[in-house]
Amino acid sequence: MREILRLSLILTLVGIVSATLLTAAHNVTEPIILERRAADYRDALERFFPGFDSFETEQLDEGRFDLIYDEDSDLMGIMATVAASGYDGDINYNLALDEEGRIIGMNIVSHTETPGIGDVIERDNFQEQFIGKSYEDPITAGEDVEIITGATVSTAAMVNSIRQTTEVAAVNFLDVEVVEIDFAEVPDGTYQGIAQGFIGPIEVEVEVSDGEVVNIEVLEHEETATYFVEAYPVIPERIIEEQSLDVDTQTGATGSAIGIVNAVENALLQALGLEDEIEEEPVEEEPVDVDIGEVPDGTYQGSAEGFFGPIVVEVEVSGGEIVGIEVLEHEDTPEYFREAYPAIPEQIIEEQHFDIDTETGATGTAQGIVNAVLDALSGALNNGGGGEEN
Amino acid sequence: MEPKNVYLQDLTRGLVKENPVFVSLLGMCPLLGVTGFLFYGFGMGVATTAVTIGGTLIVSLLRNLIPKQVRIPIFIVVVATFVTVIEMSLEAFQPALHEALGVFVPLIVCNCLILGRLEAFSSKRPVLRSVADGLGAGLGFTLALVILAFVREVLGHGTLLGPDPDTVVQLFGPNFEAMTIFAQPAGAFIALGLLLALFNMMMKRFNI
Repeated sequence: MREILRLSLILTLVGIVSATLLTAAHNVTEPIILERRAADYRDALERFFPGFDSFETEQLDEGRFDLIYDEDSDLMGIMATVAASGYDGDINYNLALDEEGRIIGMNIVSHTETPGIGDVIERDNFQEQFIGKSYEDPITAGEDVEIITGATVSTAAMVNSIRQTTEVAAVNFLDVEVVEIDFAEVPDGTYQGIAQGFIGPIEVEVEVSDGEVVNIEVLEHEETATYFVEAYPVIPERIIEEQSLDVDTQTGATGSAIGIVNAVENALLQALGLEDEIEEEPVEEEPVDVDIGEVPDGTYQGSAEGFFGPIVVEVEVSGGEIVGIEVLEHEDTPEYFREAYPAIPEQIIEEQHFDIDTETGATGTAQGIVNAVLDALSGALNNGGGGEEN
Repeated sequence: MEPKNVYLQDLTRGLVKENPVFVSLLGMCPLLGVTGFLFYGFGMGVATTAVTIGGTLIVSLLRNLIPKQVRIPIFIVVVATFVTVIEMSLEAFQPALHEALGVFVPLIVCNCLILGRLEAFSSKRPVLRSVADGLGAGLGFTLALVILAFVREVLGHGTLLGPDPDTVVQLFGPNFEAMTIFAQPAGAFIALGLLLALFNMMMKRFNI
């Protein structure tokens, strides 16, 4: 008994000494740490809001929102500090919005995405596509912004989080009105709605009876099946149980969950006549036609936008046929570029037309090469056959 | 043996002959986790060395007061205290390094290298010899981290002294395509395996 007491006392003593030391160290370092964090943050603010005077912090469930004011106390914009669930943990970032809710820029604070793959989210090319967009834009992969093949999860997470953040900021701080749906006002019937999920659109069918949502079914989606089960049927069940769209979407597949809620909202808005029915508009690519037979023999250069930058090609025409295509310059990722080159030039030369399948591992690059070749040939024709002949 | 030589021996033993990484294969977790860049590997090595010195100092000072039955918990509290102090200091004075090392700093607590030195050496030897031993083991660990990080940064990123844009040196031309595998954990294993083979070959050749 004495022995046990002695040992416990010694351990307690060690613990007390250790705790004292740590408290002392904490007191010394904490003010420095806090000051440095504040300075870092002010630097970031200064970058996006030059000449700002003060800010006011609002903490929401989605993250921290700072309202930025100038000297005259006019609102300059909003700086959001939020997290997106990436491939491997949270991507913490700042999103800067101007006073009308348009994106000024973003700043990745920390992330743990795979080096060389998921860290494309830090690239300017990826981030710049969001600048100028606001809560009024779809900010949806494949519509007005692109996600990056090979890093789908990381980039889609950013797209979805940015869309959500612009909406949250607009609704909470910019007096943008939210249409509140009163289920009781919706006439009985079955309605279809659509909204962006994590990867692609989610289409739902909502059945309303006696002013209550009684059934929700997902008709179509493109989400990854193993994740989608985390959101479906849980989310529809929650909506039906609570008879509200304000349900907890924190699941193993939050992006899909939010997509389902938005699709249901879309269906009900259409039912109430508050939103036009969405017609699927297949995007028709404008066909560019170049008759290769009319191009005089020679070597021509042309360029077009690839995935990350311009692609410059040299095209050799002989006897009314393309006989050689060489890429002179490009800025695309080498690993992906290989998927399109030389496969795409070989296909063009073989088929002697441009309506070829560009669905490779690097579609953006492939399409860029085709466009660059078209550019070279149309240049050759427009210059009356002069071109840049060798 | 002369007393002076004893200290020197304690110090150098950990560098090559009993190198904690290349010979004992201790501390694999930070070794694989933070050696993507030279700066990170070096920082981790210095932090671990500081904790080892602190731990060996305190434990050898108290070696006659620590009851045998509860020595391990006491060792761990001592090490954890030093690690936490180091972590706070890093966050205050080396924020970039703190951010990069992340969870691996608190994990220094369970680095077997440190506990191993405390249990096998410091708890039975006088203060100076223990500190020399701890310093040697720490430096040996740092050496291994630096070598591995050098290989991984050069092959995996094609740079030196990165990723800080102020100091980074691009070693190869703009057309260089980095071997991304070496920037990832799997590449760390591959590089470590090759280095171990090389180390063993040298040991045999020079009969160390």
